[in-house]
Amino acid sequence: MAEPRFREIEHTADLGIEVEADSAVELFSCAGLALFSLMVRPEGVKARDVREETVSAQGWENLFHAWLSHLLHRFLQDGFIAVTITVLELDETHIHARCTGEKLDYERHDFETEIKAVTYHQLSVKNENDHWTARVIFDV
Amino acid sequence: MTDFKLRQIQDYLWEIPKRGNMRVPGRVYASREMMNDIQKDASLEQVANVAHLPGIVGYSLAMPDIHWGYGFPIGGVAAVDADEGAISPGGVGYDVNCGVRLVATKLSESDIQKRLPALADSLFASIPCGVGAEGAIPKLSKTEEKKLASEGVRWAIARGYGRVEDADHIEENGCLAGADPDALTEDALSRGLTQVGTLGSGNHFLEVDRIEEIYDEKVAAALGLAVGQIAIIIHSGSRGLGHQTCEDALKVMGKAMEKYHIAVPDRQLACAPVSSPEGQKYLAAMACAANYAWVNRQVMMSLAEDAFLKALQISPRELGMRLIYDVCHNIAKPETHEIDGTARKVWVHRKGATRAFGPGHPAISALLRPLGQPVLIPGDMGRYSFLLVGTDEAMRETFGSTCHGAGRLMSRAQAKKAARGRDLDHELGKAGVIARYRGKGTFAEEMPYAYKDVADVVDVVDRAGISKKVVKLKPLAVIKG
Repeated sequence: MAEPRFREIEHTADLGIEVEADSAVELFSCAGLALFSLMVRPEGVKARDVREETVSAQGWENLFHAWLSHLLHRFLQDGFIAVTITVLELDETHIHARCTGEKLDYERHDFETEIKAVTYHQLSVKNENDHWTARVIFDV
Repeated sequence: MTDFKLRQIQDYLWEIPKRGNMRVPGRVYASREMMNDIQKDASLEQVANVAHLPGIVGYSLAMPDIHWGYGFPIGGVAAVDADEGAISPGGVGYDVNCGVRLVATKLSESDIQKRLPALADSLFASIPCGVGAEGAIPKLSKTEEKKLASEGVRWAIARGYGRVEDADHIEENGCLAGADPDALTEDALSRGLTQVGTLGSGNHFLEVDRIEEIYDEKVAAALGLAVGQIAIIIHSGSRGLGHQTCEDALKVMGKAMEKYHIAVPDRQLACAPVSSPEGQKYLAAMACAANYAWVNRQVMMSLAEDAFLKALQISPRELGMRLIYDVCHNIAKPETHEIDGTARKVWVHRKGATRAFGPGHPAISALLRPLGQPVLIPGDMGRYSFLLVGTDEAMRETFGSTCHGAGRLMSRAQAKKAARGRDLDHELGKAGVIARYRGKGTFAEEMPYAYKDVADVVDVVDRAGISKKVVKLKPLAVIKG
C-alpha cells in the first residue's frame, strides 16, 4: 500500500490533517492510517491481528467523521493500532474495511500523542473530478 | 488571520465590534504583545463565531490564554439566557470538567529533598497514566458507576477516598446538580467503568510543588500557605466518559439545529435551546461527566496521599494533606449575573476558562467566602503555577471568569522537532524538576519551551482586576501520561 498522502495542519493546541487521494477508498484508508500514525509511530507496529470494521452514517462528511471516531475508539478502548486498512465496501452511507495491526505496547512502540476526539471544526470532504480531499481537526 | 476592526477599550481589554449575524460584540483580555500573537491564528474569528449563539448575553469573551480551539476558542466564555439561550456542548469541550486541584501538605522541601526520586517513582506507580490507563480502583459495575455519576465526590468520600471536609473545597461541593445517569449512553458508561483515578495523557499531570512566592499574605495565611511548603497539583478530567458524552451530544444537536431554526458558522458550535429535550438531556449527561471528573481527581488525591506515606515512611498526621481548592475549566454552569442592572439567570460556558467568583459570593463555601474563590492556573512543567482568587470586578466584567493556563506557543509537531537531539530529562533536571512519564512523544510536546510564560497570562488577569495573584508554586516532580 502507498504511504498515506496526508499533511499535518499547523494547529497550535490540537492536531489536524489534510488528506488527498484519487478515490474515496484511498481517502478513507489513508485518513485512518494517518490518525494512527499521529498517535503511534507506525515503524515497529506489526500486523498481528486482523479486525473487520463497519461504520454507517449519512453523507461523506458524516461518514468520514464516524469512521475516524470509530477507529479512535478502537484505539482508546483496546489500544488497537492499524498498520494496514483495506476498504472492502464503501459508499456514501457505509464503510466496511479490514484492518491489520496490534495492541499498543509502550515498551516496543513510540507513542506520540493521545487524540481524544475527532471534531467537526472545519471538517470537509470534497470530490472534484475524482480528486478527493479531506480536512479534519482532532482534539488532543 | 482574519482582519477584525479591533478596538482597544482598556490597557488589557480589546473589543471585536458586532458584524454580520453576531448577536453581541466580542471582548478579549490581552496585552498588546499578546494581541499581536493572537491575531496570527483563527482564535479571534472563533470569538466572533461564538457571538452567533442564540440567547448569548453581554459579550463573547476570551481570556488572555486564548488560542485557536475547535468551535469555541480555548479561553472562551459565553453566557446564554437560561430561558431563551442555546447550550453548546462544544462550548464545554470533550473533556467535560477538565480541571485542577491544589492540595497542601505540612511538609517543607527539606523533608522530601533526599527522597524526591523515590516519591516520584511511588506516585508514578500508584496513579495509572497514559492511553488506556485503568485499574486505579476495582472495575465498577454499571449500577455503581451511575451512583458515582449522580453523587459526585460524596461517592468517593463515602468509599474512603479523601475526607468529608474536602467537599467544601470543590466547586459545587463536587456535585453538579441535575445529573441523570440515564442521560448517558451505553458507550459513555462503558468507557467510564475502569478509568476512575487515572490521569490520562497530553497536558494532564500530577505535580509535587514548593510554594515559592506569596503576593497576598492575608489570603495565603487564611488558606494556611507559606513559602517553602510542599503542595500537590492535579490536572485531569472526565476521561472517556466525558469525551463520549460530548461526542454523543454533538451528533444529536447537529441534527436538532434544523428543527429549532438555528444556524451557526461552525459545525462544532452545534447547539440546542437550553429548554429543549436535547438541551436538557445534554445538561443532565454533562453534570454526570462533571461529577465523574471530580471523583477522578478526588481518587487520585487519595492515591497520591498513599504514595507519599509509602515513599516517605511518615504518618498521615505528619503529611497533613489538605485540599485547598478544585476548579473546573471546561464546563457550563447555571448562574445568576447582573446584566444591564438586572439579575439574570444564565448558563455560562467556560471552555478553557475558570470560574473566579469574588468575595462574599454564596456559591463559595462559608470558610472560603470572605477570601474570594481560589483559582488555580497551572503553567508548564518546568516553570511555575499560580493560585489566585476571584474578584468583584470579575463578577461585573466576565461573568465571574478568568484564565485557565499558559497556552501553547508551539504546535505539537514544532515542539517535537525542537526536541530532536536534546536530553529533555536532563534539561528539566537542570530546572530542578524530576519527571516520570510514559510516552516520549507526549513528553516532548509538553516541554516548557512549547508553552507561553504563564506569568504573562496571570499578570494580565491580575492587572485587569478579574482575579488577584496569591501564591506562586514551583514544580519539583511531575508525573505525566
